[in-house]
Amino acid sequence: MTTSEDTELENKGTLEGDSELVPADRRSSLVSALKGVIFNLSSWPSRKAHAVATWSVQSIRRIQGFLRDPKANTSLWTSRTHERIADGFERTRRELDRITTIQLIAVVGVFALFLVLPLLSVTVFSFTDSSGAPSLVHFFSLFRDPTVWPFIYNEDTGNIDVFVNLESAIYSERLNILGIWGPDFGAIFNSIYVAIIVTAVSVLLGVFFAFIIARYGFRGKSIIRTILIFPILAIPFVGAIGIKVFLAPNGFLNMLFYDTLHILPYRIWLNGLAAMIFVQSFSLFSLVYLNAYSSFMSIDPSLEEQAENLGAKGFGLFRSVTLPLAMPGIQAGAILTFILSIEDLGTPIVFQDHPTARNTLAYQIFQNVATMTGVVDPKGPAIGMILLVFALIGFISIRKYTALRSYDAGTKGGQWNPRTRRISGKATVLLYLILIPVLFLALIPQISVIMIALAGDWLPGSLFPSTWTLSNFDVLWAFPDVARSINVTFVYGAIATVIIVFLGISAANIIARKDIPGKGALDILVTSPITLPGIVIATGFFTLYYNTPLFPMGHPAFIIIMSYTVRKFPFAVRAAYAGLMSTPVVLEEASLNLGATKNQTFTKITLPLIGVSVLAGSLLSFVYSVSEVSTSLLLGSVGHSEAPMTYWMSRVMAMIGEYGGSTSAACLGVLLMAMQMTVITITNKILGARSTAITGI
Amino acid sequence: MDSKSRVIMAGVVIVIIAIGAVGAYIVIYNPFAPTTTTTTPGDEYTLHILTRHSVAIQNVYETEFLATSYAINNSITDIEWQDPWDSEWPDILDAGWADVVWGGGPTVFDNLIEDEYLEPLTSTLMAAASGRVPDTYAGIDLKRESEGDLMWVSAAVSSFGITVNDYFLDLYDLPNGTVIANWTDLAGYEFGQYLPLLPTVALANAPRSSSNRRCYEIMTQGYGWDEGWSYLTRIAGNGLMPGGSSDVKAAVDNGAVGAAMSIDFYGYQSARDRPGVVSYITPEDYTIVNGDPIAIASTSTQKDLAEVFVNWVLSAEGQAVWLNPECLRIPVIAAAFDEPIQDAELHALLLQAFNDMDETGGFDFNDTLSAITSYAYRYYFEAVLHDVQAELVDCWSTIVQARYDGILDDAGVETYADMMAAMLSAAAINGTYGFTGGEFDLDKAIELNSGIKYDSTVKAHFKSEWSAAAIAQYASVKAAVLALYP
Repeated sequence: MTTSEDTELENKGTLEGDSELVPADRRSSLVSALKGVIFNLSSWPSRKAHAVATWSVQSIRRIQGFLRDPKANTSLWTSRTHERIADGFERTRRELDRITTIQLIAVVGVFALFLVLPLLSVTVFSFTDSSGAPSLVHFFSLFRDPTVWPFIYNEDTGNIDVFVNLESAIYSERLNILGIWGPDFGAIFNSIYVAIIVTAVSVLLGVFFAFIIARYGFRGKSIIRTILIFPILAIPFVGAIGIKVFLAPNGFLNMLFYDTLHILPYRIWLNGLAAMIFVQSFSLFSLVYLNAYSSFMSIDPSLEEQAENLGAKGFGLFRSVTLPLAMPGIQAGAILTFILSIEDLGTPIVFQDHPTARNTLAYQIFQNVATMTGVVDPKGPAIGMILLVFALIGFISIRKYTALRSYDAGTKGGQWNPRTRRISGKATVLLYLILIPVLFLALIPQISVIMIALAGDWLPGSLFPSTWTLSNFDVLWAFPDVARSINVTFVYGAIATVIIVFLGISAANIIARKDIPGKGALDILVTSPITLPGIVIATGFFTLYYNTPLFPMGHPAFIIIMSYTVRKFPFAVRAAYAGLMSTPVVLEEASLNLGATKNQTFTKITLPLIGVSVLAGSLLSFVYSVSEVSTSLLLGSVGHSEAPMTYWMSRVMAMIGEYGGSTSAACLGVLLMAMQMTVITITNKILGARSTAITGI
Repeated sequence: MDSKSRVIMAGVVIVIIAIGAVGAYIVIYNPFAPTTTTTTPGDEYTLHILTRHSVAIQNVYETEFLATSYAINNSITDIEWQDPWDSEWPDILDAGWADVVWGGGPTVFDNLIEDEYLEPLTSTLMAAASGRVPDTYAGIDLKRESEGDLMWVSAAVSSFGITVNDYFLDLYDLPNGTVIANWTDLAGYEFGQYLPLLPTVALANAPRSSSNRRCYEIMTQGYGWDEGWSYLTRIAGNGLMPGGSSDVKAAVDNGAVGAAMSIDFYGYQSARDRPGVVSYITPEDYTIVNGDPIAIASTSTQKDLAEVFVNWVLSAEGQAVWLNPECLRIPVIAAAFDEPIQDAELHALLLQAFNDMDETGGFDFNDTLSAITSYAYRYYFEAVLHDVQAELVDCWSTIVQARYDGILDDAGVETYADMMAAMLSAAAINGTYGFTGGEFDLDKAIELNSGIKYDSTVKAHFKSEWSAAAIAQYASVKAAVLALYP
């Protein structure tokens, strides 16, 4: 405890260091922020070099010290290890009451059965050579593949060949189009730089909107709050068509800004990695918004009032007080955004017609697992391992970085009457000038899915259909399994979400509140599923469980539910963790001091305090479960009557005939969106006023 | 532990048990199963079919078959379908789930024979059923034997061609449907005039589409290995690769490109959906007909019921179902056209196609050669045309631009295009694997085929080598063309 307090004080010192705690005015706060950025950027290399040098010197000293008396040092090390293990056991015994033990066993059991073992069953092939002997040959192969890794040693010349394509845009005079697709550094670096940009943009947009909605009152706010949830309603397959139509050279954006308003001197055509950044940013910012909003709403207003009394105002107040207090939620959103961006398969598939989009980790896994050759190429799982490592590095760094800037005693638990301020009419107009374009861009997939579902004739080159019809929904009556899939999907999502809530709270409670050895590993284990490609896990289910009671032939229902549970678990666990981090532990300690048992404290104090965060996370889990694609596609294909909607959207889309094609798939997409919105709305109704903190509806 | 804690613990345990019970209930009783059918073991049977056919075809065939005397007399009351990626087929076949295996093209079925997943069709019933199907049609074999036994029979035939979108082609002033006649037209530099920004021809990555791969093989067998790959390379240079064959269809339907590689029924459907805008062209230079097989799984536990279904599919009545607008396939039995007509226009279209194909026939396509080079072929394509397409387009657009700038004439384009597409060499892989390096000619494709199919180390090695060599070749040809500018 003392150590962590010291660290915190030290960090505070480092962070605030030479700057005053609360800048006097907006101008000086802006100047100090800009100065800080410049200073931090310029000093970064020297700081890092210094840290590496210090670490190296210390390591050398340690090794030297060890070599001076290896025998004694080994025995010392052994006894210390023994002590550590004994201490670990003691801490575990002290921390693990019965309820925690059950929680731990349940979480680890489910993850072992439905994540670790299936994953191992597939990835083990990545660690063997063709004779079956243990080998890293598949990993070495990746670093000889110019589409994955750009620096390859050339045995003939003895040089390192660099396969980087910096040509990232081109202007065609004949077509008067500027095409932008982004530089190509190979799959590994492409995925990383895309994820970093997407996370940065999403955090900026998400925090901006969350702050505006949480702190300002303006006309139409309730509608905006609702609409801000919509971008997370992912519509697989069909949403993509709309995005491409809108971004095309003769699409809506160019028609508006080039042809009609003449703002642009030429048409702009986003493609490849650039289009991925655009689409992911305008979809994933909602995640940050949701988490950040929850955090802003749970900040104790008296803290900001105290800061104001001390002279803080405007941006200075926001930067020095509000933002650090909201950091747990922002951190949760940023982590999810980074990982989802790097793992997202849907967007690279949409833009795979441009070669740069194919050079991403998620696409490379897809290309090598769904091989259509009867054999899973070990290259797929091997890339999956690399993706996992990079995603987890991102997760750990964001967590570590933001932990330095977060204050877990920022609230006294529960929700507060928000410090909302009504803004003037002029400011409202200005706000809408920003809100409408951003929301429009974010909602392109959803708008276009509705349009496609209702389209009769749609002539090439026209922005809108020439006729509208409801007859596309006939696909539901044509195929009984398609209609049944609506119930099936809902049931899967609901059961998975219930399991997620129970296990998610358990996991978060252990990670945030229990001092047991290996809880960091548990944190990584329960957060890793969204970084793991669904097709690899689904293939593992086949390899391991097909034709067993867990996955009977022709009946994938149970295994689909469990795949949703483990894959969408992180949304709930990160939200619950953020909730716990925003809830001061002193409240629980007070309960314990007053004689309540640990279990009573957990159920009567902790749970109600983090309930809102958990619900926000579980809603995300539900929404993402019902729109899950990769495991649904593979597992649904072996049991049509138990296949979820996303499976049927894919099948109907690829089908010819009266009920085939994008219009029928879009109808299913509309129904999927309706289901997601209904669940969110009903949850809000049940919870009444408290729910505004979750979704703002 | 106090009483409240016990209550909480009991609650947690109950919830976990309840979740387990729900899971077990779903597993055992399958509440999502169709409610319209009941299967009682001993009296009524469910047939299991592993397929690549679309859900529409599954739906139509299931409805039609269950209403026939074939199904009723044999107490078959339900059909269950599975249509996963091929990578999961072995698990399903090993588990003995599948009775019938249907659709996916000859190569898929030839591989199933090799892996001993198909049951020889030796019974009297199967002999009678296969006897109704001609041995050859339009010059190709409609049946396959292995060690003297019949293993699969074609249940439908398809041809391959080009779907064109005249709206796109006219918009960008490109040769349109009235001009395009051959595969090689798609390799023309005119189709590359807007590169690298605007691709004009859609095609699939070879491993992702067996029908598109057939189109490529038609070119490399028709024009010969080197010339065929040269055309393919140029088409990929002009090309947009949006995914599998249905994505290729969508690209041309939506006007993202002006032309696309296509299996005939996709082309017919596109033309029906967008009359006057999209049309389907059968290439005049080379085309073939492909049989689409049906077979019985060797691991099936209901082989007698599987035979009932295969027998019906290979009857005139079963073949006539292909003429349904949801299927749009060409039957293998002429008598199918004598069955009651559902859609007169469609009936006429498919009858015309059936007769045309039979009369004109295809060229002498070597199916065996296709089978013994299949894996090497698809991954060479992926390595040099798909994975490094950006570099290919960069090189090809430079050649095309040089033609428009007057630096190259038509012969010059041919020369540099051939240099760009010259077959690439790879270094040998570790001697223990026994694969020598060298140029990817036909012999090398045959030599590498099983290594690439079964040994991912070999596949990774050659793919990386080919990709790196392709990037170098494209860069060097581009530099050579640029050097021609004064």
